[in-house]
Amino acid sequence: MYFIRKLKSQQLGIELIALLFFLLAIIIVFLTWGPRAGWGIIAIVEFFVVIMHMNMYFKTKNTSFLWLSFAFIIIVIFAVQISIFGMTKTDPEYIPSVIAAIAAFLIIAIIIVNKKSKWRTREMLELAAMPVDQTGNGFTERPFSCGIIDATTNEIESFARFISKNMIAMTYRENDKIIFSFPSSWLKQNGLKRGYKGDSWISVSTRGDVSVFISRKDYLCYQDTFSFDQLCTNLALLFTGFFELYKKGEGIRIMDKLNALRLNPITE
Amino acid sequence: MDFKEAAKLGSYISKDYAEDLFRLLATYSSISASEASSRLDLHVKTVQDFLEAMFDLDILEREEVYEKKRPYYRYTLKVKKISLELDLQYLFPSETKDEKTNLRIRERMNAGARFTTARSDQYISNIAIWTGKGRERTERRINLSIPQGQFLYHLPFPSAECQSIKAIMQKAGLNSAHTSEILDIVDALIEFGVIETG
Repeated sequence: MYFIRKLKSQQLGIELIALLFFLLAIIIVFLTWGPRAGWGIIAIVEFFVVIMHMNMYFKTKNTSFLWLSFAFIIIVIFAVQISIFGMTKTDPEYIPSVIAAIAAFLIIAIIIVNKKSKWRTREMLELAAMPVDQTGNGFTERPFSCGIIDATTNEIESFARFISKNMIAMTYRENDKIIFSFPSSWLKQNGLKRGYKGDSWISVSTRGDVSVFISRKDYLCYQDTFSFDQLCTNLALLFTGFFELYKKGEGIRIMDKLNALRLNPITE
Repeated sequence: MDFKEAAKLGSYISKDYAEDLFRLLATYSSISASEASSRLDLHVKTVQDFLEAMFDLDILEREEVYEKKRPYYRYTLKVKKISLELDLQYLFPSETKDEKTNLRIRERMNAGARFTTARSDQYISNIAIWTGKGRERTERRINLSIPQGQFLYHLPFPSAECQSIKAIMQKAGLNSAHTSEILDIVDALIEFGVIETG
């Protein structure tokens, strides 16, 4: 689907710094203590990545994280093996390990390319802004009340599980409402920080009252000062539309709509 | 008696020497500030202020007396009973409130106010507004009643069309019993530049 981008291009923040720091540490270890020590460091770091993905699985119940955990465990084992025993090109015992590692990288690549473990915050913000052309700012820190949806508590709960599983929003249960938060920080997206403060969100009460909040940080991600009330209205309409699709059993259409934007699976 | 007079009377009546002074005024046919102050061992200025205040409130009458020295006043108690009756009727909203609910409003752009949303329900629990300039700048926090919070939750955004107070109240599910408090907060927020009319 061709569309005019309304969001500024993604700026790599803490992820890039973390990656560069990690690469630098590996290089230093490789040069100072040799390749086996370097592989040891890789094993340790990847072990934390396994824990992080397991944590994300328990948070979202998204099975892609189980696959990722599995793939990273293989990489950890591979790295530990080299770190302890070393590796020579002629040694045939390493062939199964190398094949397993290649398979693990393939699993990771498939999941990333298919956006199975990607948070859809930018897709949601793009879709919300798609019909908005009017500019005029109007940002406010008040949530926008957008009426009531006809839904039972069970339907909302079930929809929340679907949304969480498909990485559309992170869900928080609070008194008699569910908050669907769109995490934009790397720490929150990777389950290293909790809470929806500072993020955009949609809340749906058990009575069906829908409220929308777009955070200042997310609003500043737009290329222009789009009419704030229209953005909020569209985000609410988009979300209630998703709910209606889900109720009809057409959840796959929601994912199609998000995937149709063809945002970059790594940088966005 | 209006609020200003009542406040004046109240502040003087509450002095611990007020009863003694009235006792002197009741005992003497007329008394000067100097005589009363020496009798009660108070500063003459204190007694003078008290007597002048009572004169202003029409409780005492005074007579200018000329003796060898410069003229002075002698005070006489005019009444035997003081009633403090305060009419609060004018404080109640006038009948024009129905007209005021037709006022079309919305949040002002870049108002600089911070709205805190209640965790439990759809209403604003308080607003923080910055007032003053420079070093005098202070944060003023207004805690809202639930109906006021519900009203502000449904207030149109700065980029949205203005809506009448009546329409916003309807949207927030508020009945006319809350009109007075809603108009009060709207007036206050217009004054603080958080709400604009259109």
